[in-house]
Amino acid sequence: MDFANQDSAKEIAARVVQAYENKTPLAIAGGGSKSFLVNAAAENAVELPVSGHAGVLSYEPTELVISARAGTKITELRETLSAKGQHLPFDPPAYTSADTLGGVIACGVSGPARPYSGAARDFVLGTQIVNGRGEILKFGGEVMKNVAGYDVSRLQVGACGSLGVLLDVSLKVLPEMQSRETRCFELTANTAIGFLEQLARKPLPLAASAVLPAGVADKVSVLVRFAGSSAAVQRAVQDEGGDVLAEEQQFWSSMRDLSHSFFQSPDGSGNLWRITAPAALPLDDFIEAIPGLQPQNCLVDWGGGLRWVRSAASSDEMQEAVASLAGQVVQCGPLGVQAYGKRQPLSRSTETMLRLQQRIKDSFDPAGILNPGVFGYEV
Amino acid sequence: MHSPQTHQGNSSSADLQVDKARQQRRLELAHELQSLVPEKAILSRPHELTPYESDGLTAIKQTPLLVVLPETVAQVQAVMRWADRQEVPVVARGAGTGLSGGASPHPDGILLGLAKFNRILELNPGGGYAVVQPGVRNLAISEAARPHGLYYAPDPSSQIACSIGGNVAENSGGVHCLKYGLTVHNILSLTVVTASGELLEIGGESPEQNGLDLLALFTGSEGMLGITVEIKVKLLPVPPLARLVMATFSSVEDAGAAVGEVIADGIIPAGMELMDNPAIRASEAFAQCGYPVDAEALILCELDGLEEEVESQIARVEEVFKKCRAETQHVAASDEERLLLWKGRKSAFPAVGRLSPDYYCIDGTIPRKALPQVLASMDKMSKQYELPIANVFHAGDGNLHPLILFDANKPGELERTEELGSKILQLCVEVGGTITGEHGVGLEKINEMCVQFNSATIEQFHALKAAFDPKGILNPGKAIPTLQRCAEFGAMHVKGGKLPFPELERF
Repeated sequence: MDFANQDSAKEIAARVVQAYENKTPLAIAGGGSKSFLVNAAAENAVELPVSGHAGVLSYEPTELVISARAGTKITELRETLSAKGQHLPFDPPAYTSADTLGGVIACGVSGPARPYSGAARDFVLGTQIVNGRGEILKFGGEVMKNVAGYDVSRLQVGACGSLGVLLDVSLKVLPEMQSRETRCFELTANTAIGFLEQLARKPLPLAASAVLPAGVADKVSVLVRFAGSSAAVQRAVQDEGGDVLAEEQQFWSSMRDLSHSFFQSPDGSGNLWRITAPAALPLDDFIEAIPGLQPQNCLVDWGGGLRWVRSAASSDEMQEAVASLAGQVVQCGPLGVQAYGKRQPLSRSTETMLRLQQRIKDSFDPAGILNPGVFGYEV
Repeated sequence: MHSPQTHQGNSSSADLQVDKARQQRRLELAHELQSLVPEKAILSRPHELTPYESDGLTAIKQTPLLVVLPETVAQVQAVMRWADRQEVPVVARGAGTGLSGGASPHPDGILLGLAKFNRILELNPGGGYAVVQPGVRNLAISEAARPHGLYYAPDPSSQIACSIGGNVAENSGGVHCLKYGLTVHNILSLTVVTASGELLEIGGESPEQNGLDLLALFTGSEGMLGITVEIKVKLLPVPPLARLVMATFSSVEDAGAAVGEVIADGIIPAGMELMDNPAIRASEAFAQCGYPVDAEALILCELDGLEEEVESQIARVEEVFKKCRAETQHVAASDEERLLLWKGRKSAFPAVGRLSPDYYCIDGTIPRKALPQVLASMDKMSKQYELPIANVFHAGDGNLHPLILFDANKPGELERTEELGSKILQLCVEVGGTITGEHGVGLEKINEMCVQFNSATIEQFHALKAAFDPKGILNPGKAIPTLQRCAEFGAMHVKGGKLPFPELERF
């Protein structure tokens, strides 16, 4: 399908053409709900509002594909799919009521299901974008398997709008899980991650896992979510035991949307840090490596791959520590207080990678007008 | 693939001169390479080069100047640094089972064979991954992981022979990818050698990396962006139980509808394959697997998981098939029978090959709902071109493999076959699909790229390629057509201002 004829798409493309000719930097503005995950745009950047380009374009449940304009609200997508018993398996967050599909894809955010169901990138089938020359380009498509041309659609995921303005996105969707249950296990910090690794080796219907401070010294709560057919979930909880977590849906939503109390009441200087790290890294080693980290200020998601930390450490200290763990860090500030995040600069990559990324950026955006500064190319 | 027409008269002496110049160049390059790789790693004699003149797309044959078989990453880097300096084209090759000519040699370049990179470097059951070299066979990974109760999910039909490096280059799928995904969903990180010989780490231990995520971009890039020298693959727990339902239908349309209904019921089978009557007959004759040869259409539907789950889903699938007017249904009674029924499907290509001197495999993907329309149109075209077609279909994900039966010894039949193949791919694009689901563009489908993408998009592809390979030495001429080529192709297929098959609905 060709959606380029949409007036709002043409309007966006025209704005980019103009900016390209005048070398005006643009700050792509969607719902504004994920600014704490990205750097502030260059000061002279002019806002390019895109959330008006919204609406579901096509959805056929038996094809397992939904296509929507980038300004479509995540909450609207969820409702549309849920009405047909389907969902987005990467379970994207809605931090506010304004979160858009474009923002989720551009920032590449996935919910707690990520390690077991896949990341945002894994479900993108096609995109239509405006590149930095103002050209409307279409990559991928609306079918499950497609290897024609380079996979530029998935390259957009997490690129923070630095390679193009997202117009439309097609995603693979799947049937909703028939049944869900969450079990809680009390463990020590040095055994929690190994416990999750053991579970992942078994053929269980795992859907999410987290480690929370238990409020008791030396103890943590390990939460494991099983989801799938009722038969499989029943079998799994029977075999694995643990305590039942009531209202499990609310709990995982609060992890996904960062509405859990852990995120709402940061201690100390109030800095919240989002750290992705090798999932296998034991929790006690991690706590020791992060400057000034108290066990009650660390929350683990993604089976160990994502670790939220509250700490008063400086940016440099934290980046240094996380780099030594082969991880990545974004300083998110106290939520709702600090408008923009601070990403680990790209300069921590190798020279070869740095040059390559800059050349890729140039190939899409030769004038460097798309979201300058947001992603951290300027090093 | 068509040899260029030479002028009449002194063609043989002109050819001879070209041959002489090539031989001279061959010796020069071989001499230079001797300081970079062991002598035995350089193949230059005609009988040594012949096995490399084509990949699985045997209609295209081309001898490379040299074949180089490096054994270490350092040697690959040295060869690439040299090729970059000398601007010599380099084509990487794994097991050579690709079906689109992606590993077809360049006449003025070297073929970089990675067969010697055949070791599994690390098997980490606790972490659920393996680190492997690109020449490791796809099936060998699952065989090595099996004692730990793990396996590597993507299973292309050629998995006995195809290499994991080639799988990365083509983003290979398989019969189980509806549930378990493609290569891109099952790899964690890559080590690649760039066009200028530098080592690059793509992805890493952490689930997210700094900067752009290049892993998906690199996967399926057909050797155009770099040489993969190490791959970290995801290993999954082997499902405790797998069961297979075989159902027959009186029409392919009914079978196609049944596939949609299974999904509508909320079931994602591990695999769901559809075959038409010619494919059923061919496979049964070849594998004697117990397919009913008088069925118009056959579905193989596999469910896997915990025992309780599989049993309840089998019952639901049987119910759905019954509602969709299945003629017969049979659940494989044993694992042996299940594997035998799969063997029939997995050998469909060679099976069809026995019915006909040659066959040509197409690899379009279509929205599943377009299946009846596409089959009806293909039937018309098949009659018009007087070439029979057998269809196997990865029905769950819409990937259609029409196999055109032809005889290359009959004058003009190969050309007619290629034209028919091209028409089928264009039809796939028209119904909202794509020209290649899993075999790649290579040389084979380069013209059809012009149908699927507009000029600005093709230019963006070229710019992206240049970011990785500024001198254009990696697999030049593959995957992405030049705009000039598109102009020529366009001129050809709308000849006389008339589109072929005016009866077809377009867009």
